[in-house]
Amino acid sequence: MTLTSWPFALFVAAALIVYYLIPRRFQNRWLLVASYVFYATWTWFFPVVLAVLTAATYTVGRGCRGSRRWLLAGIGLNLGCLALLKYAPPLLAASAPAGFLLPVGLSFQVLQAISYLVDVHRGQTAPDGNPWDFALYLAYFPKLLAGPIERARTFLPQLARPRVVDDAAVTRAFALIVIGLVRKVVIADGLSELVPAHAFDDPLRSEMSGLSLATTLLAFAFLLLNDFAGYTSLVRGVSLLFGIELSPNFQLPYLARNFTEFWNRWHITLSAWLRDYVYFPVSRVLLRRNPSARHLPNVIGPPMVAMLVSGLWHEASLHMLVWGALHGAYQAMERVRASRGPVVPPDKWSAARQARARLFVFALVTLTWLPFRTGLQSCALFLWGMAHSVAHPGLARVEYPVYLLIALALLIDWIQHRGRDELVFLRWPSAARIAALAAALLAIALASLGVAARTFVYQEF
Amino acid sequence: MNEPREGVALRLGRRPPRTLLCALATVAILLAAGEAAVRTDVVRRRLAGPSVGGSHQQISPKLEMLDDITRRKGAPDCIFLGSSMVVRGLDPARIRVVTAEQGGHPLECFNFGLFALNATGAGVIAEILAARYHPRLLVYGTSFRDYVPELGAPVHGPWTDYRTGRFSLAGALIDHSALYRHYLTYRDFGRVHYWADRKTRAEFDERVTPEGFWPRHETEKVDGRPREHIYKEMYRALAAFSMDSQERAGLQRVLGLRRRGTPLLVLEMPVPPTCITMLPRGDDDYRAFLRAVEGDAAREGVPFWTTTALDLVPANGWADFFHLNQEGAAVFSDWVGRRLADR
Repeated sequence: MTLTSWPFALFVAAALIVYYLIPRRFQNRWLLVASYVFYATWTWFFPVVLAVLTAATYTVGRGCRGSRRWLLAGIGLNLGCLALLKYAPPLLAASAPAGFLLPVGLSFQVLQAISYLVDVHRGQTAPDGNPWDFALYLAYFPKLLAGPIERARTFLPQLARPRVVDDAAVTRAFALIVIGLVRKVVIADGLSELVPAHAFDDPLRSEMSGLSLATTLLAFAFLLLNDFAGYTSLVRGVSLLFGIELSPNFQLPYLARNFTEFWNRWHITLSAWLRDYVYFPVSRVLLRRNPSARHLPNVIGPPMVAMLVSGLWHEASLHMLVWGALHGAYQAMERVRASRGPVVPPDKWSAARQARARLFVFALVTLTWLPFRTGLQSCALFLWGMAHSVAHPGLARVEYPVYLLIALALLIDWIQHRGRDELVFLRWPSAARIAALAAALLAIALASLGVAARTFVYQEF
Repeated sequence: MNEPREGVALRLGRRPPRTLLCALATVAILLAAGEAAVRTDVVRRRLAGPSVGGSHQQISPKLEMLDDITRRKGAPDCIFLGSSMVVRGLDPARIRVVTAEQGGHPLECFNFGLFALNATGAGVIAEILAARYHPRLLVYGTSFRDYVPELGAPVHGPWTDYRTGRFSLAGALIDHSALYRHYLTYRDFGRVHYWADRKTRAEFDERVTPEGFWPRHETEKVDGRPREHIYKEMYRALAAFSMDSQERAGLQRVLGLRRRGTPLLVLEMPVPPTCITMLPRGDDDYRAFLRAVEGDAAREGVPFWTTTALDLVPANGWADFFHLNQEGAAVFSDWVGRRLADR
């Protein structure tokens, strides 16, 4: 079931009606049932894997507090499951059983399970909570496919707490859903149709000029952002209708002025997970060996390891490792510079310097999407094509509506940036609000009519 | 307001969601105004022709022409359907003249031939035309190429699906909203293929007669075997010729319309004898094709007129090995007109 399809809308509507009709003490159980039903619409195998993972993690979690052995067993169990289902089949290739499928969203569920185990071990989460609530923590359908990666310590208390869904919450929910649909259906899907896949997979045969290849890469950068940010906005809105607040995942990342800031704005919940469970632990281990904050391994080690893990989490492939290594290197360079003297925070920079920094970070991030999108050999050919072929009439060119969609994406970013609020639209004067909503509804309807709903890019991880 | 003791409480005020309702009303008013505007002649004249979308570029302009004729003179008596062989080979204007000369009622026909239309596509289009225009006669002009999947272009799309019983919102909108059909014309504005499509459409508008006939003026000598380097794709597609079962089902779909009350005729589109040498077993394959069509038509009680053996077309009547030129089309259309008048 695709989240931008009518069947999903009907599923949410049905789930909501039952949710608010049944006695309140059964609401969380109903959400759990609905989540498993939703997951089973792919195949029965997915909910079975999730149920086993849930039961095992919960059981191990009960013995985890203060026990390092139980913690390692729990982490090993989850990573083993991920390795078996995600990394082994591509490596085994031909010998993988027919119809063997990676459960959608498994990588996200594993990260949440590990965070639960670590938090229990550290005493930040109680291990003996309601098992059904814990099952819902891992299975909650709005975040099941691609996050946000929630923490048990923030998610579980929401389930236990009585809460009210009022007019303001519903308004916020619908605003998030509309923004999500505009980003996904209008911008990301529009760009997806216009950006030729062969430009990445076989750059030389695409016969595109260097400028066209560069524009294609630029379009992919906006496609990826709007696809994932659209997804997050949509599922946060849907979740709010059930009275559950999910964490924001994006905060205008292409306006970041350095790479550390970029990762505080892009896929925020994954960055926070990596920071808490990889970056800080690695940093602590290194500092124990040499307490100097300027010691080079202490400076470059944590970001490199965290970003390599991030690359590997996305996919067990060389090009994803390169992608992670590049981001690790960018952050390491920033840390090396910062370790040599006092650093002026970006907010205190002049407007011109901020603009230059934004452009620089955006350019490097965009280049780094190349190994994220395609294999290393194609990356090399793509870069060669960008550097060596100049535009001439015989070469294929980028479709003009690409620029229109990028402009629309930038406009939304700019409005949210200026208003310092993703829901700034709700504070607009009534007439402007009505006009914007009417335009958005019309654009969504026109973009989705007669077109099959597309899945989200991050669903594949 | 009291907090609930457990679970989630839904507490919505009595005020309706004003912004949402106003936005929906704005959209509705804009769409209604747009719909009304594009239905006026003043606006319609300034716009490019509407489109029903889908994968075949010629369906929309042909429908537009047929709708225009229907508006002005009523639905045509007879509709020709088939591939480019029909588009190039049957001139409704001549048929009107010939049938009038024969002393009968001048037959108003429309040529709904579509380039690369195979039998599968013909089945779909025939159903749509029969239900929409109720012609007094539907003539399916066919040839062996119609049964080779590699030589066909698909005709599917939301509108054809909708008209043949598969509901979709997009299909329903295309069918009922002139505004949406015009939107489809401009939807891909700025894309590379948009301008190529506009150019093709302009050529179509310039050369196709109001009754859907698109004459060719060049002449090719067809006394020898078609040269392999020119007809390379055709030779490749025909190398293992046999009538494809799905395409044959398309023919049967066309023929099945007779049971639903649409008078039908199947017409063999003529080819020069040398064209038949492209088939791997030559005459044997061609005879097998004719026998199959004849058998299917006979089972449904539909007449099948064969033409190639009659040697109707003069030597200078061919634009190439598959298409008649203007002279050939005139001779062939006259013959068809006379036979129709005799019916």
